[in-house]
Amino acid sequence: MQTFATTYPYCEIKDEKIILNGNIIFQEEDAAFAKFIKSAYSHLNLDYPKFHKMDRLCKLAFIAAYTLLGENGLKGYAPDEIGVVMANTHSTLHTDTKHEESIQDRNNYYPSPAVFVYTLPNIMVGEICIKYNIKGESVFFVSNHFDKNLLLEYSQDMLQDGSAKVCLTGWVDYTENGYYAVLFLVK
Amino acid sequence: MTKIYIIADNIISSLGFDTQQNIEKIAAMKTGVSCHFDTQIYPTPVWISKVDNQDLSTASKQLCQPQKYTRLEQLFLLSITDALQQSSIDIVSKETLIILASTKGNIDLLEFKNQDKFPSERVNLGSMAKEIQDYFQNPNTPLVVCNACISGVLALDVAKRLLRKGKYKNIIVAGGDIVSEFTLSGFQCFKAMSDAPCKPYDKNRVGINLGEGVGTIILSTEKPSNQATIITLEGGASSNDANHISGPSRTGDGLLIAIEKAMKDANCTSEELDYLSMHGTATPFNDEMEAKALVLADLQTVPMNSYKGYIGHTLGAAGVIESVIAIHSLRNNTLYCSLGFEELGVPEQLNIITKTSPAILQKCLKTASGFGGCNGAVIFAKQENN
Amino acid sequence: MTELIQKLKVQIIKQLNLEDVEPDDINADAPLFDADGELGLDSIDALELIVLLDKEYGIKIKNQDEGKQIFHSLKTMAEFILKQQS
Repeated sequence: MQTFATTYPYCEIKDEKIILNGNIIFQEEDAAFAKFIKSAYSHLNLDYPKFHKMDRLCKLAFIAAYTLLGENGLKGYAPDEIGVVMANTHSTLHTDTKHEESIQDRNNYYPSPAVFVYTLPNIMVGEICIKYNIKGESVFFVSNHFDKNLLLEYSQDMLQDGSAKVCLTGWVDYTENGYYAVLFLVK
Repeated sequence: MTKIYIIADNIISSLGFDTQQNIEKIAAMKTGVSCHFDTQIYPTPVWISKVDNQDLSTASKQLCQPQKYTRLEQLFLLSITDALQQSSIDIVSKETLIILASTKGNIDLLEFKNQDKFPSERVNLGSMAKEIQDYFQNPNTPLVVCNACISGVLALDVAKRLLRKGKYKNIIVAGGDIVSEFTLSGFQCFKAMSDAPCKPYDKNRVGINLGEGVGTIILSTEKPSNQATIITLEGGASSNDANHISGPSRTGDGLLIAIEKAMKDANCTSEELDYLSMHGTATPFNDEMEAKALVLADLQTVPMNSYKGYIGHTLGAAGVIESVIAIHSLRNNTLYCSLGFEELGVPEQLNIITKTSPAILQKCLKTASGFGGCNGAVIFAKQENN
Repeated sequence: MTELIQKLKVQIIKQLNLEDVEPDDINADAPLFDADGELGLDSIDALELIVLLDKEYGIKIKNQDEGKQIFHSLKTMAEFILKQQS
């Protein structure tokens, strides 16, 4: 189990557990992801109907962000002072596959806009920005390996050069074979 | 503040395999958008901007073992190779980084007809990047910016940040995407595609033409000695609309934030901008949003255009390809007409370039906007090399 | 007509991923895309309704402008479908 020696508040989601600053605050052992993330939504007392339209990757990112920030975690910052730096390995592969399946058969050809819109990984950033009214700088990277230091350093650079006063930084990946999310609040 | 110089560039698009071919066609108002009927990529005819397969096949023979690389990888390798040949940077040095920009990478590998051509993990952008890294024997893991249609502009902004920090001496920014069944079907179900050459900002605009290609820009903190005219990347920024995941802001305030931040970063006022290379996708909402943002930024009188009428919307490549054209617009002191525009179709009075003509140009702004509510802006400036 | 409206309610809930919405919760006469509307439908939902009409009823709508009047309410949708089918 990877532990993070960091001074930043963070949320981690893995193995059907939600961990906030090192403490498990919610878990649903052996639950399938869809059930787990829905239970997490209820547990957090969220009232956000848009959540149910999100794909799994965005739901994972959203729950991680909400666990970390709550309703008021970014209060005190102007919308354009908040940065977001996120990354993953598989981009939106799970939803890509869903879209691809919808266009396989020319005789049953009904691609869905609600699916297609989620075939870009920065949409998870968009969803978080809408929820928290974040209008600052952001970037989404894709890499085969999770380089935590690279992401944290990039965020710290943004703080240092004045591009942002606070930065939501993390890694959110989802595939059929596994998922992992970690988000830091870099100040 | 560390100066960032544009050392070299390349464009591969429907208009040709190098920057010069592309600029010549644009100067002659030739479009690379045409009607294609290929049931392999779409059930009915579509207006797209495609790199000619025969030309690509011929060009790829220059590459080492082209059959080892996917279509997009071949385009990246050719583009970066051409740009490198115009420079003397050391591609194998630890001081050189490659940054790629792409929205969907090797997404064509997900298609049934392409399965088994390459290992399945090749659809991962990190794996695509590794192929490119290994081909050039660069020691640094490339960064891949995957941020919808602003990926190209954003990759330039990321390069700016890393070069200013002194982490690298040279950064090769290459943006690319291909036209695929995947993206065509997606944009069609969004009813976002035009059934004719697109018309940015025009009253009768109905949507985009999807395009493909790669654009490469080599940036360095070392001043080029062999150029009479030097172009620098002065500043950049990004922002989010925080409004809707697919529709742009109705007020333009998100794009305004990116533009103003970029100007502040470049220490540049709106009066100093001579030309604006806008995103101009020709969808009803995008172009209207841009118009609003330009008025808010007090830039509505500055000559502006969109290049999507020439090369379509090349997604991850757009920000880089169009920046290259904008850079050459500065070099050539030429304002290229905004192809497809006839009658103003946005509520704001804009200065859209209707005739390709000479003009003294020193500084320009390049913008992009994309799904997820993201916006990006960069500023280029020209100076004579003394 | 009532049968079609009932069928549409079920289909819309499924197509638009309307969690925790029951068919009885939807008022057939109420504007579907009202800003303060109960259902909170947006532009993507409008496009999804175009897909629904094609998939379930074989009716092709070209774009959102054409769909504006048709998708005003469930009732107008049902009326349009019945008109196309006759």
